[in-house]
Amino acid sequence: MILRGVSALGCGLLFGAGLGISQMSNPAKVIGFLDVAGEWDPSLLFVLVSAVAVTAIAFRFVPRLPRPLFDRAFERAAPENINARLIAGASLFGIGWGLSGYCPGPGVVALARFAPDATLFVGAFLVGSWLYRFAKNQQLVVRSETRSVSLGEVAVCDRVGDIEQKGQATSAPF
Amino acid sequence: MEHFTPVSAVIGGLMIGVATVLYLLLTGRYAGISGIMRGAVFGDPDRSTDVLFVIGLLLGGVAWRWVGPHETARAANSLWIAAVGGLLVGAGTSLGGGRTSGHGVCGLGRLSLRSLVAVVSFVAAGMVTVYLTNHLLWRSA
Repeated sequence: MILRGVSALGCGLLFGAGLGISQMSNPAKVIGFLDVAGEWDPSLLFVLVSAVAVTAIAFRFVPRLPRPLFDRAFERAAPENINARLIAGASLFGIGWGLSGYCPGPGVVALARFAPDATLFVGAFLVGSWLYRFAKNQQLVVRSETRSVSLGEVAVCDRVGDIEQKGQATSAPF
Repeated sequence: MEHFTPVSAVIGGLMIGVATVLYLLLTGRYAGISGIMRGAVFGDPDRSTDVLFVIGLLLGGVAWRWVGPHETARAANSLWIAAVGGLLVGAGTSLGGGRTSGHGVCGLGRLSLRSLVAVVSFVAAGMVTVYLTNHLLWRSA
């Protein structure tokens, strides 16, 4: 338990320092990478490729171990669902990334230099995440209420499906 | 814009990769930062691992600031745009199940097609956004 905590702290530190050195935490650098029509700076491509080179090799072996060193089991990776939700989420993220020049990890790293934009970004990231959770929980409430009222009423259930879909659609464009 | 910095990019990338692998080896978790941050704040019953990882990230930033050369970091846009960006990133990563570290570093490392689709989507969306803001709207590069 303590060793797991120390591991998390150490891995976070190494990860954060890596983000700092590679300048992922510098919004201007990120925008330079995304700005293909301007003076394109491919540095961040090198960050991603070298990080993936390490994980691509190690991930072939590590999850085959009986268990991680300081916990009971390996987390299971998300199922391979490729759907509109994935693409919509990734696109929203991409727009936010392009506007702010931050993603969550680099945003936290940039807090260390007391960057006001990073502080706002991280705060807004949490608000955005919370709004999504809130919208999702609302849907759960609607579903459970309706189910308890009308067992077997297919028409109502169909409408609940509509509500859920609408709820998801409206939860997207914050 | 900034100069091309392949050496520091590769060093930083290797550190990120090694940290991700160690995190999996030691704690059994995939280091997707957006999920870790949500875990640290909104939390499952046991959020200590997530919290400590985020503290580590912050310390990594402090350490880098302390020992490293001072990068000439600057904000990409005005503050309120950074805030709008943060909202979109928060909602988008919730909806799409992660982003650069989750899909990029972990997912591509697992050779996941799902993650490749996500990475292509968000890089494309980011590039279009920057094209619009940098070249068509208010900002000059």
